[in-house]
Amino acid sequence: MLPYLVSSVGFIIAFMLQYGVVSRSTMLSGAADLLLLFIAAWSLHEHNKRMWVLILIFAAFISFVSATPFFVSIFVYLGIFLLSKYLNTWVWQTPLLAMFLLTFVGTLFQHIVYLAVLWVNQTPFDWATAFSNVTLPTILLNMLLAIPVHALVHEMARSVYPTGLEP
Amino acid sequence: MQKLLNPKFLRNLIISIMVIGLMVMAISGYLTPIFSLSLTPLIGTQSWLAERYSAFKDFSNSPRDMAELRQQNAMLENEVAQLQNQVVALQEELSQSRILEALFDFARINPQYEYLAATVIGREINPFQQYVIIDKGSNHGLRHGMPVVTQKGLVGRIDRVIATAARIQLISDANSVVNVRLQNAKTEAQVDGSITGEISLQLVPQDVDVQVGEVLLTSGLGGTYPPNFFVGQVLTMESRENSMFQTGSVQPMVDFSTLSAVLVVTNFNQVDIKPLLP
Repeated sequence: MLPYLVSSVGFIIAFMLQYGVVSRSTMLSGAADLLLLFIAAWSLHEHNKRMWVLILIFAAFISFVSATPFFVSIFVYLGIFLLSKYLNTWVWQTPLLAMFLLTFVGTLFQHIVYLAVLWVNQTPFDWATAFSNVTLPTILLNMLLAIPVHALVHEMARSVYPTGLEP
Repeated sequence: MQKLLNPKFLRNLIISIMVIGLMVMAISGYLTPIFSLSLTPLIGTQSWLAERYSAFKDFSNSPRDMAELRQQNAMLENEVAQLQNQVVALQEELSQSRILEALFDFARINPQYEYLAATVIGREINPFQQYVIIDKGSNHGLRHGMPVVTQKGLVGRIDRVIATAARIQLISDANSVVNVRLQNAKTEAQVDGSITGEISLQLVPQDVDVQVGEVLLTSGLGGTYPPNFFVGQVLTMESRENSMFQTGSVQPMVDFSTLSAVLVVTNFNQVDIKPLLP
């Protein structure tokens, strides 16, 4: 019960910081995604195998506020969760490396989905501009924030789970 | 006479005269060098003694003084911190009141519309879309499609409303289209947003001479926005020979990255012309 409570509080804090602060701090047109980083870092913890239920709820919550279509956030964040489980099987000994890899791949995956939705909706855009002005800065910002977010979530996990059971 | 010649009397008389003489000499200043000479070693000794006494007193009292000074220092530092906080809070209030003052000035200049001031509390998570969230919703009378402005110009329109908040689609969003008129060129065109948040001028006829710095105002066409709101200024124009229209880049009047307060035009009814479109 405690892990779900802690992750819910962590998610709410990340959500508020994302909408109030992080989304406004842009590099070119890119902005970091604190929710993606939180979900990635928390999902990398091997004890959170049933985390997908919470992510489903969180993603639905984000979809309610976001201007993107409802299913997109759910698809993206559940995809990142599944990717983290896959990464856990072969780079689990180096959690920070897994976090970096998940951040990089997850951001790319998220942006490809976002752009695909825009393309389906016939929104005019240029792929090269989208990549250079939005995706690349976002990846850089996410990679920069990945370290502190991973450290914070790791400390949260240590306080939630008994010592010796951590990955 | 015998009494006058009495040796005791004479001695007293001589002593009195000498004393009076010394007093007269002292008052007259004739004895000053002698006094100075005799007092110099005394003053030196007194100074030495006083310095040692002061040093001893300082040494004996210094722990108490230090403690008092530290307490006073801590109190003063605390007071300075409180005053700094007050200064920051007052500066914040001043900044907020200046924004509100500017907004109210705008409302006074455009009295035909009714406005509701709202604070921007969030920004869209998807970096490809340009939306902000405000702290007023349907409880405050806001509805879908209401135009949103600041004292500088057009911001966008309300895209979605819940009871206590609303989401605004900025004119810089990729799906946003604003019909504009060029103030000097006396022609109409269209301003489109983009996924990077930049806005561009589209559908400008080739025969129209558009100068850099030309002001763009909403035309009111399409019924989405009321007319005569500032949108931006032309930065550059591009004209291709084989193209039907000129295009250009636009500097928006409103800086969307620092948007903190907006005005919602509450008495403008958006006209839905979709059923009329072929």
